[in-house]
Amino acid sequence: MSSQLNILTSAIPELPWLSVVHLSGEVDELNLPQMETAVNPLIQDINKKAFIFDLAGLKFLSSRVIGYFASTHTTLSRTQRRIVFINVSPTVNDIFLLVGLDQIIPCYANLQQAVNNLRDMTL
Amino acid sequence: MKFLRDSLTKKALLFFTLLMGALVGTAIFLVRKNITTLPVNLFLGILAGLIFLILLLFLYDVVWPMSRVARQIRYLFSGKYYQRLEPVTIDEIGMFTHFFNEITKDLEKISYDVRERRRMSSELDIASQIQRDVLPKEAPDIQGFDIVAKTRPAAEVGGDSFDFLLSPDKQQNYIYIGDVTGHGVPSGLIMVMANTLIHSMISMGMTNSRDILVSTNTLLTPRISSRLFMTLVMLRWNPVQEKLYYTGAGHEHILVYRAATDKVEALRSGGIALGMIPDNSKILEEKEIPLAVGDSIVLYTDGLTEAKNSSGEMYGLERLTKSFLKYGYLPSSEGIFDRLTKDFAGFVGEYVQTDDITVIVMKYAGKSAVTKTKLMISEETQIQKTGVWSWD
Repeated sequence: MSSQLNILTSAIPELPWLSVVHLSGEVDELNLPQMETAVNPLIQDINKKAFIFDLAGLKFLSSRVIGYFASTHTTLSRTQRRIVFINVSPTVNDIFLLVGLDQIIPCYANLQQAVNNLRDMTL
Repeated sequence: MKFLRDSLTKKALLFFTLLMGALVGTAIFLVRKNITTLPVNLFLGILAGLIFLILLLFLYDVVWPMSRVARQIRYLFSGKYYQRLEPVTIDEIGMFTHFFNEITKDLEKISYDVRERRRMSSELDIASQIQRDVLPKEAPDIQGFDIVAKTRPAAEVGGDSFDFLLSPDKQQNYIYIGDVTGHGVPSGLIMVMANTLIHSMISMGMTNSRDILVSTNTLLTPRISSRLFMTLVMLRWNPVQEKLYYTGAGHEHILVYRAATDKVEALRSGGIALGMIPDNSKILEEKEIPLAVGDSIVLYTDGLTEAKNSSGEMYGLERLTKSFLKYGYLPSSEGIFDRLTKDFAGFVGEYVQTDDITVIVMKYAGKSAVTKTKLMISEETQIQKTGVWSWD
């Protein structure tokens, strides 16, 4: 039985180099392809320099999803692009801390904080 | 003509019409010639000739096409060499011939798939055996520790790993538990690679568990897909100093039952998973776990804490910690292990295992105590589909 996952993508008109992906529900290996289908086209757009994953509604993510984020981080880093997380719940944060993902992908409290940091990094 | 040949009924009608037409035509011809009587022999001769011609047509257009396809079907059923046929008619027999060709094509494909499946299954069995061979058959007795380690893969080949190693100078014992993302052959291959690298580092004389994992990561990362990684925690026991150290590489918590306070500490293993970044030397560090006689340690993989019951609830760290708190006082690691397993099985019920599960329970009985190490690697290659979850 696959868990329920909702994905929404949005953009900030005044920051065309940025994409925001809102994830809610649970992501595991069964619905990871659903996330990839939504996120990969965004990543392929080289005009997008940074991606903010808003995990406000995310309750759980499996190790394969961690692998996906780590791989996406590696891919983006090669072209000096960034990925960050915002609104990380304590449960998901525990998972990030556990595998050490927080060591390579920064987490910010909210969108504004992430945008400020990304602006400094990318500009 | 095509219209008349596209079904057997129409062909029968055609033959009948031909016969009747020939008879009527002959009758008209005889009437016009004023022949009112005909010798019986001549009449029968003409009739027999007509019937013979129609029979020839019937044999050529119906019986022969039918018999050639029937022969090939016989060959197919008796396991002899058969061949596909070009349909020579456009009626039901033609359709039947086409159907025979299609069905034999499908049969050949199915037969190929079955052979491939058998081959893959046999290769999986070999891979599974190789992996079981990599896992320790017997562990060196680690002075002062009573240990039970068990693993059960979710598929024929698993991504969980554990091992007990001894430094070449026999001054250090290493115990590690690891978990590669997902399960199955890709995970199993990485697990074997990591195991080999760790063995190599230790046999080369590297003593610090942090250095072992940093070097393992340096060699492992460029050789694996960026989506795969291995979480691992390694314990290093120095029996002379009676000190236990650990280095975490993004693995689950280390649970320590403190006999003196009757409490369980969940130590974050820390670090970053192997294979995630090329250089983890700035992140990994070796720390000490102070240990007293009677303390127990549980190492596990996420297959245990992420297992769900029928309501979709995860077992979780909290339940595991509570269970360990109840049974951590028991004098033997086997006793603790059995109780932990019972609690887990009671929670998950008829759980179809989706991830590998490995658990190591260690009881520190003191330097002078007589202790043993017991291992169990599930020989089961069939995934458990029904029944209450168990190690067996």
